[in-house]
Amino acid sequence: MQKDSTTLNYKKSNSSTKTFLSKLGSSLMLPISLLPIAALFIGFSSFFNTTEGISVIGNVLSSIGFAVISILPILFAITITISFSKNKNAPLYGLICYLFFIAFQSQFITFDSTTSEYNVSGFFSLSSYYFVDIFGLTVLNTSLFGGIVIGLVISYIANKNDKVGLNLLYLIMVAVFFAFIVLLFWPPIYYVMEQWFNLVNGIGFGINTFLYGFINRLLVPFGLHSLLIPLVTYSPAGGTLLINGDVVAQGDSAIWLYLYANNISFQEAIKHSGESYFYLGDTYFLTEGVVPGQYQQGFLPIMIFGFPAAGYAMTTKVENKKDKSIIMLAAITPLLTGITEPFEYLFIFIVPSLYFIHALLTGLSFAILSLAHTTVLISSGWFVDLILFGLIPSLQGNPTRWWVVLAIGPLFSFAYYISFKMLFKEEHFKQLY
Amino acid sequence: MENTQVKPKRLDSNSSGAREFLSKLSRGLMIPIAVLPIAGLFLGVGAGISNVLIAAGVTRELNPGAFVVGDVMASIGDVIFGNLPILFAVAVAIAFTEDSGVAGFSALIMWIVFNAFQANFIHEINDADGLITGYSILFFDNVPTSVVTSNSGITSLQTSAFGGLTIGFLTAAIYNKFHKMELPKVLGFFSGTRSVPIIAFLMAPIIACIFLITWPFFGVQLNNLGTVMAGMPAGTNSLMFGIIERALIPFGLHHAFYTPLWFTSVGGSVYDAQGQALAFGDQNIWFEFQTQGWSYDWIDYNQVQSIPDGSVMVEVNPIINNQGETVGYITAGEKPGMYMQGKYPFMIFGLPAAGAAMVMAAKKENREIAFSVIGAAAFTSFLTGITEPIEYTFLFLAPALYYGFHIWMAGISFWLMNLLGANLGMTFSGGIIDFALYGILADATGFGVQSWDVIIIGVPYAVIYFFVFYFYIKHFDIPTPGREPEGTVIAMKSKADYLASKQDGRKNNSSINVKKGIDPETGISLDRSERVKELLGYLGGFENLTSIDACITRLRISVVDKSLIDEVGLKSLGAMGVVYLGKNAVQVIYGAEADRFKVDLKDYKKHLGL
Repeated sequence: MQKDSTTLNYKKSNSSTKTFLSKLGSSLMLPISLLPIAALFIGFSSFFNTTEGISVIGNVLSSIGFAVISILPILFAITITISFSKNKNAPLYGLICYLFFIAFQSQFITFDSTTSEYNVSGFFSLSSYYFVDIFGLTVLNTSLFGGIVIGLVISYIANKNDKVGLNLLYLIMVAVFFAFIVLLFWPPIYYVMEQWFNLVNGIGFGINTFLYGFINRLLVPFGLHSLLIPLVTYSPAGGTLLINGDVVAQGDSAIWLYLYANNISFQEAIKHSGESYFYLGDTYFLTEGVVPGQYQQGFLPIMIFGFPAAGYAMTTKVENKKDKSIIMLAAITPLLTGITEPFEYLFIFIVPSLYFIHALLTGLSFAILSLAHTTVLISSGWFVDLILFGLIPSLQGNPTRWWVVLAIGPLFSFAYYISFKMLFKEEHFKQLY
Repeated sequence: MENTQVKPKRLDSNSSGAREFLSKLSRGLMIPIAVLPIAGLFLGVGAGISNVLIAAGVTRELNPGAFVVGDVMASIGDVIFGNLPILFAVAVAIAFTEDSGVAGFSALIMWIVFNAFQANFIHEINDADGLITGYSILFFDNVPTSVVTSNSGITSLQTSAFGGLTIGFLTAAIYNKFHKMELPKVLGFFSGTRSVPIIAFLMAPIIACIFLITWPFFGVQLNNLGTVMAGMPAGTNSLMFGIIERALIPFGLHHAFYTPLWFTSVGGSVYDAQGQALAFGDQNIWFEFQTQGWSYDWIDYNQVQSIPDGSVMVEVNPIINNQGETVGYITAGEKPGMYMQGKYPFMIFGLPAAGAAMVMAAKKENREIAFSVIGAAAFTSFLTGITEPIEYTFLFLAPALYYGFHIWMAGISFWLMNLLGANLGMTFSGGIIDFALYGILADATGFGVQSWDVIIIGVPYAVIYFFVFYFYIKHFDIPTPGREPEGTVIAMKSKADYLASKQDGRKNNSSINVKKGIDPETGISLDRSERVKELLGYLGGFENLTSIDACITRLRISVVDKSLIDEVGLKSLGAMGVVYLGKNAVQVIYGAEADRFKVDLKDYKKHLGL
């Protein structure tokens, strides 16, 4: 009896963990869907920055784009309360809690102008690397993690009781508690995390990017890739860029956008990653192993070359003209919109081995592009990105080596065609419909 | 759904539409209004601690540690007041969109973009020492510094509650118009609620432009108004000050108005016996008297003399000490405290009494809850002189009480204090803490500020405020806290009540909805209705669904019993796959239609009152 009940409990907790993570992933879609627009605005700003007189337009475009990126932790806190709490007031509780959290923290952080270091609660003396300005307050950089944790805790509290006064009391306690914890423990945690991120990003030989692309695709069936993407694109996990000792961007996409909007050479940055270097009058530091765009651009060869070839291979296995067009439409949707699921779901459950090969090839594509020092940003995932964030920066004098995508593309067409021709059978398609 | 409910009611009578609007607003602003007193107490007590320390001779330079507690408390309060417009924006957006968190999220986006856009057009004007003397904003050349502030860390226009509410209502409008928008399949990702933050993002610059053109204009005019007022006779300048300052608070423009009077020579100057200027502006002058050890009774208002100030002659009253020596001069007509002290009677007496009236006007069963919200707000005004918590409880719900009564009473309070010859100062605001420090203590140490005048005016004020508020709220049935219509009170209603109210709503609606192409059975549009009913059947009905959500391509649901799911049926509706995660979570891959299904299912469920 005893044994049985424990197995049951184990199973139950395991499944609820999965449900929880899947829910967390879906809750993050809201801010993620907004980021392409912010990225596009920043991207367009570069057209105006170079010309005198209209540079104000460029400034406006990039400033509103970066403004949204800078409040991502708060946006995360709110969007999580929206998904996880049935209490209609939860988003406001999340916002208020975050405000208290940063206000309380900021009071214990002082800047010492003689050493140019920040003092935390009287016993840490740290460089500006550990801090971030949010809502005009200087606080320890807890990045997206802080927003996620506060969002989850507030959702839990808001689900437990309905009384406004009581909830406000709780959220103040939560904010002060977390602020204390962060003030005492975050600097060492952050240090260790940074070391770890640097280690992973700096493995080299394209191993980090291969693993990322591979794992990213393996998470798709569980919907968990939407957890991974914001972490590498907009948190310190994807790397950090410092200018004159100040953190200006964190995360793969954020770094890319910052470099592009400020006309800072991508290739110079890659060449000097992991060391301080002097460029156009400022001292730059980009963490080890960062190739801006490396955690997104690997999808380009797959979407533009791989999927259409795979789709073509699949159509040779079906007779019906209507079925052929269904397959081809799904195969070119990623190319046009960046949304890969409609095509991937054609084979993901029916021919898992094929999906595994697809994940391997995706990893390979990520690895090759990062080794080739290609730096193309994917914002919304359209093939338009290759032009807007690949070709155009190169024409403006900031080479992105975007042509590598075209150069390796045919190889991926070939690989996908062969794999699908061999492994996808007509009866598979029949299982689907 | 909501639109179809509101419209027929509006046809009946205008007042019921307005009433519905008000109760929604009241419900929406509940959280900001509930958090304000907490923030107010933190801020007021924190600032109070620092003020008491300074009064006791402790300095920041020598004893920085002594100020930590006060500073931490103040900062916690400050962050709420500094970001109050955001709270208003988010709260209003949620309240006017059937409690959609996405609308609240979008309001925050819109607010940030709104301010970030402005920042590009606001440029500092510096003097020789690098101090900011003003701003140039588009074609406005010398905008007073008080029109510009730091909103969420962004240098932008001081638009205060008005800015926040504008953004909130606009976001709600965007949500209500676009959250069911369907785009071509290729752009499916951006369909539905996901389009709302994006449209809010794109709209924000337009709103920012409108404010950039209008707001500095008002700021400049109000700044100039101070100069005009300085010369007005018989205390009428105090009267005007009180009225205008209160009237501007919701717009945040009061800063532009009082700053010159408090801190520059527009608010008067004080000179030493040799005619050297010592201090400018009402507040600085008040503290200069403290520094010099001059009693405010020493000013001889009957003697007017002319002394040279630079190249011009100015009219002054002499300051004559007990030995009959003239120790200094003060601009004729300037009575130290004239632009400050009027706050005490209505902040310590009037507004707390108004709070008591609101509690008494609440329904008996809700009084305890009303007291918990309003009591704290009233106490904050009394203790610290932070009035936003109590003022905002009635400002939006009964603007007539604010603009038809309160601001005039504030003006009269300033006027009477001036005429009675009081000279109270203040640093923070007009609560009991400042009253003790700059009223009672100043009297006790012989500065002769006549602090009892506050009580003489305050007691009748308490009575007047109480009765005016009580009868106004009762007579016009204002939904102040604890008076909301059934079903929207702060405490959660019982489930039975809820179901009953939903069922009534359904009966009323069905006849109207048919005309609008809405299926009376499901509450969603006719073209979608069949498809959604079919989907629901394949999912095992609402009894089987414990939660409904969607991401880009997947309908994400939790079910009671997995075996009730009809996979073949789901595929017949175009599903590309069905994924089971653990025991209860199921994802159905529908492509771009997933989000649409989610919205429809939720509407259907709501329609059934489940």
